[in-house]
Amino acid sequence: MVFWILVAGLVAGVTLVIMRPLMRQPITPGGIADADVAVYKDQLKEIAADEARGAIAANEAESARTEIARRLLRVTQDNEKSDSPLRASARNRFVTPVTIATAIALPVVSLGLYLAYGAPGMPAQPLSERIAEASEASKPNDLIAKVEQRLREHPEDGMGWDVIAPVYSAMGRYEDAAESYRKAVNLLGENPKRLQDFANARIRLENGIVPDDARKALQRVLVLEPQAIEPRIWLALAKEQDGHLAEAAADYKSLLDKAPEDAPWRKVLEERLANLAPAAGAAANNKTVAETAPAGTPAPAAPQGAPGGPDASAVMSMSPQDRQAFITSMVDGLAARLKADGSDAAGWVKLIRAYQVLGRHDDAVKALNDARTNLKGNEVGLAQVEDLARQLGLGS
Amino acid sequence: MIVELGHFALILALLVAVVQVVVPMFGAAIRDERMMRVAEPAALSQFLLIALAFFALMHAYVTSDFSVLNVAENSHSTKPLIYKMAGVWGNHEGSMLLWVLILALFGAAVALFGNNLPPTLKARVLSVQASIAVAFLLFSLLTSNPFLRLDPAPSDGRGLNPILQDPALAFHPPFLYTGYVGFSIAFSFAIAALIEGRIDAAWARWVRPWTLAAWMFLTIGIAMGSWWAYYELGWGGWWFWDPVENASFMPWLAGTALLHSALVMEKREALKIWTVLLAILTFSLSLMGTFIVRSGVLTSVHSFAVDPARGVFILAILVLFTGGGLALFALRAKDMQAGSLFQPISREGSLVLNNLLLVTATATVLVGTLYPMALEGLTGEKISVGPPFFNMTFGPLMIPLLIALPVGPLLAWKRGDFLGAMQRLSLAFLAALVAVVAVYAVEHRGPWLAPFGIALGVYVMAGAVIEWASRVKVGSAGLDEIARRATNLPRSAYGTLFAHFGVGMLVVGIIATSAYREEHILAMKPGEKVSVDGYDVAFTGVERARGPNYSEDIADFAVTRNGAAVARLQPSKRLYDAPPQPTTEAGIHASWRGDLYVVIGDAQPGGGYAVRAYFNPLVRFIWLGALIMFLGGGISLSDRRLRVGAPSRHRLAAPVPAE
Repeated sequence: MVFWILVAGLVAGVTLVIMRPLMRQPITPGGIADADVAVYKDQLKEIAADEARGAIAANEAESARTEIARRLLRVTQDNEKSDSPLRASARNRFVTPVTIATAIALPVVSLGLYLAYGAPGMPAQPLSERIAEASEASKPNDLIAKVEQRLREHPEDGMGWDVIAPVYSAMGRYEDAAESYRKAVNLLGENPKRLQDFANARIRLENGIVPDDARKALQRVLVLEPQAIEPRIWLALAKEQDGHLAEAAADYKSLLDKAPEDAPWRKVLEERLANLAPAAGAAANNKTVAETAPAGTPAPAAPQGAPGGPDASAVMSMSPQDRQAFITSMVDGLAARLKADGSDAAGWVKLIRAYQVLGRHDDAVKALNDARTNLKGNEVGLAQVEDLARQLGLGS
Repeated sequence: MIVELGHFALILALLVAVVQVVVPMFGAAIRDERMMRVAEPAALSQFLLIALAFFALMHAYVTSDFSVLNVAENSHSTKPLIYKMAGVWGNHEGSMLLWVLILALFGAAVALFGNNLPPTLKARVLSVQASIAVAFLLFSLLTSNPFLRLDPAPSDGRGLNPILQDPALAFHPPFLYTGYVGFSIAFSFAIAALIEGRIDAAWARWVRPWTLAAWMFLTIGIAMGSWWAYYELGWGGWWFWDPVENASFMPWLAGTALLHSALVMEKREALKIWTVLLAILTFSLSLMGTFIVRSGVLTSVHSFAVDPARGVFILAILVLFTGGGLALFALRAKDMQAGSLFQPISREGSLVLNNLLLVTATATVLVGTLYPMALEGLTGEKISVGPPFFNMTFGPLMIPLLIALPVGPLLAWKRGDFLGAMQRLSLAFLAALVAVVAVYAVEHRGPWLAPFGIALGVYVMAGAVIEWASRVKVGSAGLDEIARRATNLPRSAYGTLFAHFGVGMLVVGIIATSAYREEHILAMKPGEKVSVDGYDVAFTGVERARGPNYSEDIADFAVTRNGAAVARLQPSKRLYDAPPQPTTEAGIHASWRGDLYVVIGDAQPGGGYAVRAYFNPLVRFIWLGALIMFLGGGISLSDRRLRVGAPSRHRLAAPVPAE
């Protein structure tokens, strides 16, 4: 409604403004030659000024003046020749039809064209509004439903899969996330981030066990990006989970050797290695130890990975103090990493969830606020965090 | 709602433009004052409506409203704000909207500030201007409507070509378009005058400020494009004789000629027919540039989506306006009176020479640009007319032009004193000689002609200063007198000084960079060093980093000179997220002597990186020269004399009882 009022106002305003000269009493402007005369008079003044400055000699100035005077004379004659300067008669028979035609054509044709080509009544859909709407809905939200709908119709839209996958991941729907990443990789091709995200989703789904397809993906990441660190950590963990404790320990060591002093994951690896050292020794004697060696632990942020989670047998096998210390160190590592680089929305989601699971409510609220500051501008990420906050019942 | 309002405003603007074409033209024909007056409110409301449409689209970009097809195809939610805004013209539809916006802006400016024009001429100019707007608004609405909607809206957009996500490029199109499209006013004046059947010295005075405004914006627009190509494309070059560059350069050359011939016409009423023809040709070249760039006959970063329907439409517009303009010219030119006479050695003579050379140069560029395209179109054979062609044809044409440049302003109108001018230029010759010797003393390599090229630039710069000095009587008058004269000198004289001085700087920059550039292309491993023109450039390593919407490999180079640290250069290679596309960012250390320019390439199998390092001597003179030319245009434009020559407004508008 407001739209049509504005359209009507626009048309009416423009039509009136344009028709105003037609509806006024006609006036007689200066003769056509007036404008020319003014220019030539100005030129005469310039010559006088040039002469006064000494820029041109007196005889040159004189001949220039003659020339301009000749032009002046000509325009004056032209002007007298043309019958009347301008027709100022109010009885010009064309004015009325022209006025009426304009008054009708402007609104009618413009509205007609707009109705034919435009999309009247279609609201704007700025991203911020759509995200707000999407996260307000308590049921499977609108945005996701829309994208899913679109993907059902166009399963070949790789970008769509790529967009929805992290959303699934943030919602804890790891199976859907992994599947979406797989499709995105198939449709758009491999890139390190996509493969890594796929692997992460798979690992979460398996509660921390690094499954075969995740391993393959991680290895591909390393082919594409030989200097990447994250896949190496996971692959080392995979070795540990397979019971190749010595190899895993060696990998941890080499990762630690190369790690910068302030690498946030350094502490985690150190503890892992410390845990492993006796186990690795034992493994040489008794392979079965390996089967119960810590598995699934590096995903403490996922709720399932926390103590009491259905499949956290590995962590459960630690002494309560060890377990607590281990999880704390993992969480602190994540917090440190996010402090250094706060752009990772998924990381914030993990951290907030982990704090909440650990019962550190104040830290969770603080992390939520930090995430809001850090993710400013990243609308999708912000929406994930807000979603989580709502799920967990953290104040806004 | 805002988007839809924008769409409606654009349609209404088309209707207003149609009224603006028909009513004032008819009014001028039957000499009805009221109908002619319709042109002014029509031009203003047309501009406001298109501005409304433009800002509606920009609003959609800024809020990432992906229900607008154009936004979904060309923007992305993670893009920094400035590129969301610049994204409006970073695509075909939006840039055409910018085009019509500027077209309407010039029309509105004539409506507002053209009080000194005779009423019939003003009405006709605005009518012709609106006819161009009708053509382009139709083009926009029918083939490239920026307001098409998408429902449901996609979750995110496809992103702006990363190579365009750059500050210089964000502002290059508006400036360039202001120049390009600004020549439409000269065209409209020419057509209006042909219809009117009266062309005299006063006409030249009225058309000159508009041409000057268009020219200065085109100058700075081209310079920005070149500056961007220099640091973003990573080749260390600043001009490639690329058809797209030529498309903007041809109207510039013709516009420069127009600017000078209009001067002759205003002062001496000579070259009337020629000036009108040039005005038509200059805008035709602008239209042709639009056609070349937008029709998809060539692929470049400017061509965006290729759609044959668009090409045909623009071609039709080009044929209509160029053909129509020239036909009208042919019909009317014979009725025009020839202008005054002058000796070959005179100010007029020198400006005729300027025009001949500039127009020949334009034709050269035109041939070099169109011939390969025509050949490919007709025979399918692909040939490349690269810099060698232009260096051999365009270059030699510039030499006499530059030699004559300082002489012209020193000659008097009608009959000049050539020997006197030479005498006054003796200091410039001396400066040029010193330059030759100095360059030979410093540089032992490079082509033997290069020092003369630099000397030519120095001579032009010196000539510009001498012309000013002789006007204020430096050397023959006291200091007080000089100061008085300097302040009394019309601003347009300072405009000439700046513009010509800028040309000289530009020439010095171009020759120095082309002849004495040092280039190293090599594979480097961290820890290795290369010596470039006295700088020691040590490669420290490559690091990975993350920007707002890209990841990048940043290389680090420590630059020292004789052991003292000079700079750290960090050229990088970026990979944008959406769309995933690599770009290079050059590391540049700028100084008065020139630029040290380092670019990092791909990782090599042996563990090193491909590195290109250049030293481009005096390369900044090129853009600095262009900037000074731009300022010169601005100073000249502020000259009081370009604004007066008008009967005062109240006399024009004073109501007189009807007969």
